[in-house]
Amino acid sequence: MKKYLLLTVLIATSIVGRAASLPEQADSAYNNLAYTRALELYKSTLDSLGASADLYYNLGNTYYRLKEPGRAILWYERALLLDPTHKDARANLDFVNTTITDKPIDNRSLIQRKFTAFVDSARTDTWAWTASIFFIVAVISAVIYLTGSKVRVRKLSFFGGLVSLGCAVFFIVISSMSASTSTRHNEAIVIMPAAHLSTTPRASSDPSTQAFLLHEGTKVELVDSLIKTGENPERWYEVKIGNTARAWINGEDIEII
Amino acid sequence: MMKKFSQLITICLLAGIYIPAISQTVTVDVQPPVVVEGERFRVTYNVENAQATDIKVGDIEGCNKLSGPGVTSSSSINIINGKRTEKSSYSYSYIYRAISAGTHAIPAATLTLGGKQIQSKATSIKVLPPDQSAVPGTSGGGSSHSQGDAQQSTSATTNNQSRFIRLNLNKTKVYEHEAIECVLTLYSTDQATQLNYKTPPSFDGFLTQDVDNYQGQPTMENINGRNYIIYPLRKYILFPQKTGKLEVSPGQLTMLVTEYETYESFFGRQLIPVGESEVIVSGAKTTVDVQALPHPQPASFNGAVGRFTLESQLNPTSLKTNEAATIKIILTGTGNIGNVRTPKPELPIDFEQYTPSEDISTRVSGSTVTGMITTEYTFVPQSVGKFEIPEVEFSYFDPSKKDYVILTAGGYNIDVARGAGVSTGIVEQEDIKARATDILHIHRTDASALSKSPGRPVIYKPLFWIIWVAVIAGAAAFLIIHKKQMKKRADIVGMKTARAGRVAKKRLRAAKKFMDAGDSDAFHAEVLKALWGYISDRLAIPVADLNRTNVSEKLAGHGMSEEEIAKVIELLDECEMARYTTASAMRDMPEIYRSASDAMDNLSKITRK
Repeated sequence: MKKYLLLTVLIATSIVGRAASLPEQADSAYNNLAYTRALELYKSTLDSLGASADLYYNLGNTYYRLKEPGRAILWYERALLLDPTHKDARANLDFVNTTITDKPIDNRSLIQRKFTAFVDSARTDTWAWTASIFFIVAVISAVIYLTGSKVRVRKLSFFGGLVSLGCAVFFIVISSMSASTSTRHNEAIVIMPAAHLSTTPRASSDPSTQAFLLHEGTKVELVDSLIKTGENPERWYEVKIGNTARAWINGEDIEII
Repeated sequence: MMKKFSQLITICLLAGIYIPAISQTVTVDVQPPVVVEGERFRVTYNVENAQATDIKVGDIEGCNKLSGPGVTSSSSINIINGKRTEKSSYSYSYIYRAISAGTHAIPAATLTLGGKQIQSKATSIKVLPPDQSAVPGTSGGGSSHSQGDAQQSTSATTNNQSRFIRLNLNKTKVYEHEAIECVLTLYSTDQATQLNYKTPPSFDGFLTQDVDNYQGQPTMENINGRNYIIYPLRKYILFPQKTGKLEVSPGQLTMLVTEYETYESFFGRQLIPVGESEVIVSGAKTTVDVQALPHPQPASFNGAVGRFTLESQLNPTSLKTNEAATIKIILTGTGNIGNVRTPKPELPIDFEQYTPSEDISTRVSGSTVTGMITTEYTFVPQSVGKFEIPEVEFSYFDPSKKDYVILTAGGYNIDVARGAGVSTGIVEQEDIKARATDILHIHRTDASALSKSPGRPVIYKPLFWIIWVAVIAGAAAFLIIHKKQMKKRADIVGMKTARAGRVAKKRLRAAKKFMDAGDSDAFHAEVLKALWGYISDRLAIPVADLNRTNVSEKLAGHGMSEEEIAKVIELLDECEMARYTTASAMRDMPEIYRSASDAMDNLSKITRK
């Protein structure tokens, strides 16, 4: 009975959503500078119709207009996870990153940076299908090599097949790397104006356990997490900033990308 | 009446003659300004360029006049470039002895200068009660020096209370960045000699500005029944940088103290100096309560506390292209001026800008720091037109008003005229200057692109890998089939027999059994049955309707050669014959079996309609 009720509700909301075209309403609210309303509409679009990179991007813009740079960065990052080729999301992310208090740390080497840029230059699925095409070419070449009678054809197909197989492996590795970044969820954004980090997973009371202070919009890498049960359960994350700085942060101060 | 009138005229006339005398003033000097009961002090009236003919001084309550007036005069003549300036001064001093403690008024004295009466200013003398710990009997004796008295009375016991240092602050409850005047003061019951700084004062949490060449006048004060000589040693201006209770420590210094020994003599008890020793003088810390600046703060606030004025100057006021102009932002005021910046004017993009020059001058005045910051922005307009330089804003916190004050200055609407030096005819091309000041606009949210499970990579879906496996499986299957085909094609005869054999094997299975058993009759019957059955299958004619004629016709119609047809018919005949005759001239069974399979092979080649 409950299941049916839920289903009806879901169907009903989706029908209502389609009938009123939530996304269009949300876009027009944004264009009319009604950002709070736009945020509500985008959120309900997300709940009822699902997500897309553009929707995440628009949410980021809305949060920026509502003067919440932390959440704006969060949604731009989410948009880029869905579609690393989303140029506007990247441009806005770069811009908002220049307006936050903490200067973003990038410890990657030039080669790492170039490689990441290359991986991000296409979507995960594009890489996967490219790999598939090379794989098919490799298999066909193998068949030609095994069945062909002319020496030249066989030679060509042997080397062609080898190169194609190499490409197939390369692109599948790229695709899996891209896929793992987009599904790992090991990064978070500080959404509170200021977050005190401690050396232990509890709110620091004396100066010796205070690690450092982070401000809204800073990206952190999650290393470990701990759930405190009790009267008021808390979740604490051990986060890494840059290569060396590690400390614990309250789960309420951050939002995972 | 008449007399008074003539007096007035005389005064007027005299006033006309003695113009310098009118501007004469009398200065009063009380030395020392603070004395202990029983000590003497001197009141001096100084007059310049005139001589007093008569002096009337009032009585000072609680003090006895001992002598006076004592007159001293000095005069100097300067001749500079032939110009002669004469200067003379007269001073009249009176000596008093203080009898009772308290602050006593010194009434104004009336001096007659060249027949004109001039009144001095009224002042006061502070008389301290005698030192309670002073040894009775040693003080007194009018001839002894007043400060010698103090020395003798307390130095016998060189305890810490005899001398200490303290930081005297003009206020202890301040706002962040608010200036505090701080004087390092030595309190000593005896005269301080050979002072050395051992540990400098510490001002944690403060920015300090040292006051150079500070000369403080020593005074006296009675604290807890003891008279101290107070030496203001150094002056600092402090700016708290933190909020909360901050402590300042006066540090330590060393001074030389003369030691005395009590000596009982005929004249009573006497103190005799026996040597000098260096003692360390320290003092208690002072706590300053620093309040945080109130919120909300103006957007342009950057920590200035005090009182400031802001000014902006544009020079020249009429601008031409390729001619340099400057905007001067001048910030003057008192407070933490050393730590504030002038606001930066927003110049139009097509003004070529140079690095601004900054000039900061500060000095200590009284209890705070005064100064001026001048920042000069030089720019060269590059294009003709109307431009606007918005006004600059500066805000500061005024501790006396307990509020923020916002100052604005400047704000120019400039008309840039065409200047010289651009008549080359060659247009200098410029890069388009884009400034990233805002985010890019939203995208249209495409409802069809929305997905309930977005971002699941295709490589995590099984179907993707099924495709890959299918490709491999397809290739493998192709290769197996191909290999077999190649094998067969390699041996055509073998393939033929194999094919015939396959058909024959199936059809002639029973016949072969009989052949192996040697049952000729049954063998021939089975061969016939198989042949007729196969022909029927191939030609799609029921067995009952078959006869030799229509079989030949049909086979010919299917393109079988005459010879082959004849072979088939012959085989049928032979088999039928063999069934009913026992002629031994017939071919043996294996031969017939082979012929039958050949025939079947041939039949299998004909095309089905």
